[in-house]
Amino acid sequence: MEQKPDLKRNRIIIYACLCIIGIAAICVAAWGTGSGTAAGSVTKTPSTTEVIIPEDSSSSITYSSNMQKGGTPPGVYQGLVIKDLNGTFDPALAESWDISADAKVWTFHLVKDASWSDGVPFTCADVKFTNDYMKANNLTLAYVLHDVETVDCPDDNTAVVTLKTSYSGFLDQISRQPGITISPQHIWQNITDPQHYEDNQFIGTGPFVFDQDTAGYVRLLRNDAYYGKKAQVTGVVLKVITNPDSQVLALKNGEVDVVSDITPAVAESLKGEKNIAMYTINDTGAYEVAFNLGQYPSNITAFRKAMSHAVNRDLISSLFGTGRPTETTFLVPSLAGSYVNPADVGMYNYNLTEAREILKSAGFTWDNEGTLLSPDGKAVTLTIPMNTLSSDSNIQKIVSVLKNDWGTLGIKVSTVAYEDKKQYRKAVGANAVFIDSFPVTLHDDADALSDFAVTPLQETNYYNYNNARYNALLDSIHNTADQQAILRMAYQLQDILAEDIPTVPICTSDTIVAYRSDRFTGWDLGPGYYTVTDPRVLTNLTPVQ
Amino acid sequence: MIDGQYLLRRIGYSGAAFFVCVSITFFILHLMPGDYITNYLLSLSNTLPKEVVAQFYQQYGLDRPPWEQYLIYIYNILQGQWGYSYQYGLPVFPLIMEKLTWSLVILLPAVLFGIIIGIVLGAWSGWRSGGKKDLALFNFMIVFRAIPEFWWAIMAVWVFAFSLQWFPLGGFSSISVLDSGLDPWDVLYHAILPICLMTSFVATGNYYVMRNSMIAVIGEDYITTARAKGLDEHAVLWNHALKNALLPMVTMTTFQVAGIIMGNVFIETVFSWPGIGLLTTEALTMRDLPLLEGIFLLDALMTIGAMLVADILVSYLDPRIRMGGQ
Amino acid sequence: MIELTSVSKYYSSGFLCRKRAYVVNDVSLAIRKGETLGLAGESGSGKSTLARMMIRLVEPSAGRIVFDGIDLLALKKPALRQLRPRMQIVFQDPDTSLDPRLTIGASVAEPLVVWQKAGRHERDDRVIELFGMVGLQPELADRRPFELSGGQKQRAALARAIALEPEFLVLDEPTAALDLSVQAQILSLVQVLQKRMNLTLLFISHDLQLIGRMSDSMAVLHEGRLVESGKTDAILRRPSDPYTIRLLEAARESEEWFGKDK
Repeated sequence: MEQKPDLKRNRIIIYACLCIIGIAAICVAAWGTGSGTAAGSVTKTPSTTEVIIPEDSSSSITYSSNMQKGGTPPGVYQGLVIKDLNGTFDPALAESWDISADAKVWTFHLVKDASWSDGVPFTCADVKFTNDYMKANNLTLAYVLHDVETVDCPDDNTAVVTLKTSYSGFLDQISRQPGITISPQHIWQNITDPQHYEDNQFIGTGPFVFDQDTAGYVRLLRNDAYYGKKAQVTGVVLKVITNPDSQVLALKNGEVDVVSDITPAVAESLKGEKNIAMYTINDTGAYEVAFNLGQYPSNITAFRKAMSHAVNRDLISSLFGTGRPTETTFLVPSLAGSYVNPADVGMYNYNLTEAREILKSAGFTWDNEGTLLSPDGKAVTLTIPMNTLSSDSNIQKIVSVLKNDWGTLGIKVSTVAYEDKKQYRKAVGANAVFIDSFPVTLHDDADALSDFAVTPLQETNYYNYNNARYNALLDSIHNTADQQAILRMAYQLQDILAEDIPTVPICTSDTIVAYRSDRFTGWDLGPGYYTVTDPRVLTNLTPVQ
Repeated sequence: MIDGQYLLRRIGYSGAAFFVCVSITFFILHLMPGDYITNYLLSLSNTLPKEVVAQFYQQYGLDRPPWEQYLIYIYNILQGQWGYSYQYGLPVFPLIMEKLTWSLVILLPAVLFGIIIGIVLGAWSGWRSGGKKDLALFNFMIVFRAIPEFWWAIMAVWVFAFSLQWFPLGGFSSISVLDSGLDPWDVLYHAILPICLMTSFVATGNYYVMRNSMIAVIGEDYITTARAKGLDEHAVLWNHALKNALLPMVTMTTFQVAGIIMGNVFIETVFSWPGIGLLTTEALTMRDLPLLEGIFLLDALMTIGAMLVADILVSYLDPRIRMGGQ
Repeated sequence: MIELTSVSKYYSSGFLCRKRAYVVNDVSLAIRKGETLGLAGESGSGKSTLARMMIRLVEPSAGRIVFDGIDLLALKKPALRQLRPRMQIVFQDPDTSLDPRLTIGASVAEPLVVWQKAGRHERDDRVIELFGMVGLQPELADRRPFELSGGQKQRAALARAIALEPEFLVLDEPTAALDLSVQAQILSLVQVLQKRMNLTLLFISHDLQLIGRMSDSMAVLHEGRLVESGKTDAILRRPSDPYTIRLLEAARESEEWFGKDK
């Protein structure tokens, strides 16, 4: 009955056993990785040249009951144009396009030999139908076509889109995420309740044809009747793997051919792995320290100016570790190209002494404990709202650097976490400073600068920034199709922003992609918005012999 | 023992409880901060025209006052209309049933085996409480349970699926399904590892309860008396200890079986198993109210049903408990 | 009949079992056949543990127990089992000493079943006979413990204990959980049964008055040690140990307080 010592002794023995089991497991695993993967790649020699890509969730690809709701299989549906770099667009269903001088009437010349995957020819009627049907049925993405007045079809291969007001960014609007793809009239015209209709045919015009959606797999086959550049792979299989660790294991095992968006740590561990290569898609994310000009002390221009010199970009970039973080301006240089005003690049250098001088000359003082006091003698404290649902750990890294630097300036920085997006947005409106991460597709051309404007459609912006000259300039940009004029005005807009500082851009981050180099080449298309399921990437893949 | 009239009344109460449950669920879900439209629209664009947003609210009926939405909701479920999921645009009930079926493939065997193994080990351990073997097992269970389920799941995948390649990494079918259709043996092969994991998690929980229950029972005088009577140990164990120790397990296991309906997010995430757990989490993050309401409705039904079953079972098994009567 | 020599029970604790907590410490006792030994002491004094050791329901840590010339501690389990029918025990709380799932009749019959003392019909007759001996109506045989009063349950526990016609019976505070009136009935029942079956009794109680009434000789246990033993009359009249004196004084005080009721 000597219970207690027994208990102790037993526990020690069990812990020892567990340690041994753990070590054994690691040994087995290590041995397995050595021999296992080699065996795996031998046994799993692919019989077809289908590329297998993991998907995080089944809902992101398989349910498309509701036309134009997003979540459609990649490469099946197409829009009129595809967005490319530097404000340019690749043709898709539109071969070319003309713009009226006031950017109000857009004439699209459609491809002539395109057809739907069930053989029905594609015509302008489908373009017109898509616009009319979406609006008539209040489909979710109809708001994207909010500016469209009418679509007219002078002939089968020409679509004339007339806008309600001039808008030079129209192509950007219909091609950037979520964008508008053209839907087949002959399928949808008989569907009276598209909100609750389950489409399981996915009739599209793209380089791939929907084959089936079974048991966690979605298979697309090459569209041999495709009018454009045909794919070399015979098909694409999307495999649902909800756990990112398992995605990497599946890549090592050869069960999938590519894994996107891996962490720097995983990338490090994959280095030197046989048959696995990696590349980065540059500048897929960008970050800013944004000011809410409606809140004290961000309403003081000198304060914003001082803070623009108190953001240590180099340190933050190095903390990210996602490949190659770069400094950014209001537009991302590698994507917006010539739209970036070179005069405004790198103007917010990191210099705490300069920040201090600016604050001092604006009437800020410090008390005995070094706390920053505003001109009217109040201590300056900041609360930065955080959105906990966005799993972006980079924002926390930014805040930790800011806390440190701004602390030395005598500003107490605290954070409050919000789980809900709506509450977070509310908090953003009630605090002076917030950190935003934005998709760079919004910061790549002159139109992206409308984020800082106040327009009839957009009554306010997150920065509570309202500059009449800025708004007027942006309005002029929307009203002209003249590229030279647009470029000139975009430079002026950036000069105004550099002066007013509604935001301090920090840096961009990259996406790391790992792929099986023994299966396909041609993943890396260079700078651009190429996710691994982009049709341009999928058609570019070449099987390794 | 249970009498008929009491049973009827009990069923009546269950109906009332269900109604209260559904109402509370409705209001709690509607009081949750955030809504589908904000979540969805914010993921599409930072700036949207006001009238567009207003139109969406109107389209989903979210512009009506809560009590009106509530009345519509109650009216609909009484008619058997569970509504359409916001995200999927599909009827809620078939959607839940599809995912539930997949959850059941793993959870039903896992919970049954887990209950049996847990009870057997717990009874054995409790019967020999204080002995070396009991302590060894007890400590093993403590250590096993102290490490989070998620970690065990990841380790199991790493060792058995990745390194040894005895089992697939995840999913519920091989890629061959695309050419030859769904093969039940293939599904079973994919289910073995998650079932084994789930079984061990369920078993540990039941083990503790059964062991404690057993220890409590063998401390009772009637067990000592039975020994004093000269019953051999087997007779004491089977006739007196085990049967009495099992009584608390009845309620617990009934609820475990009812709890299957909520799925298991960890297992489903690690093994890419398209079950109800994943569906719930997804619906929760997206604030897909009709889908959430459907899931909780079904859960309320199952739990209330399980309570009824547990009550009746216990009243038959345990003569001390008399339902109704007097 | 039964003789204890230096019996101890302790639990070890601390690092490498260096600390010992004694529950029963070096107790030597003897009960002669047909006699009643009263065992007194406060709760926690080790009375129950000592009683259970006497019939080896609890293993002593040290010492020697001889039952009717047999060294009880030297017996292996099967041999001990053979001896079980000769010694029985009745507990304080009839609620916990009867299996709640079994009917009273089944509980009383179980020892007969185990020892195959009678065929099925004879067994039923025997149960009815036992019920009669303890003053229970035969109809109660189909009831379950929770349907009976405390006194009835204790009678059932007695019936079960005497079913195998034991020679030695331990009564562990058999009346402590009962009303005073019921207490008296049970005690006289015990005395009747003792005479009729020539039982040797160990009667445990914290109530010195009861011990005085029931026992021939008595022992007082204090923190696991035997502080006094001898003829009951002698001890109650002239206790020698200070603890016994204190117990007696306490008993007298409560007698004065509640005297009217008694």
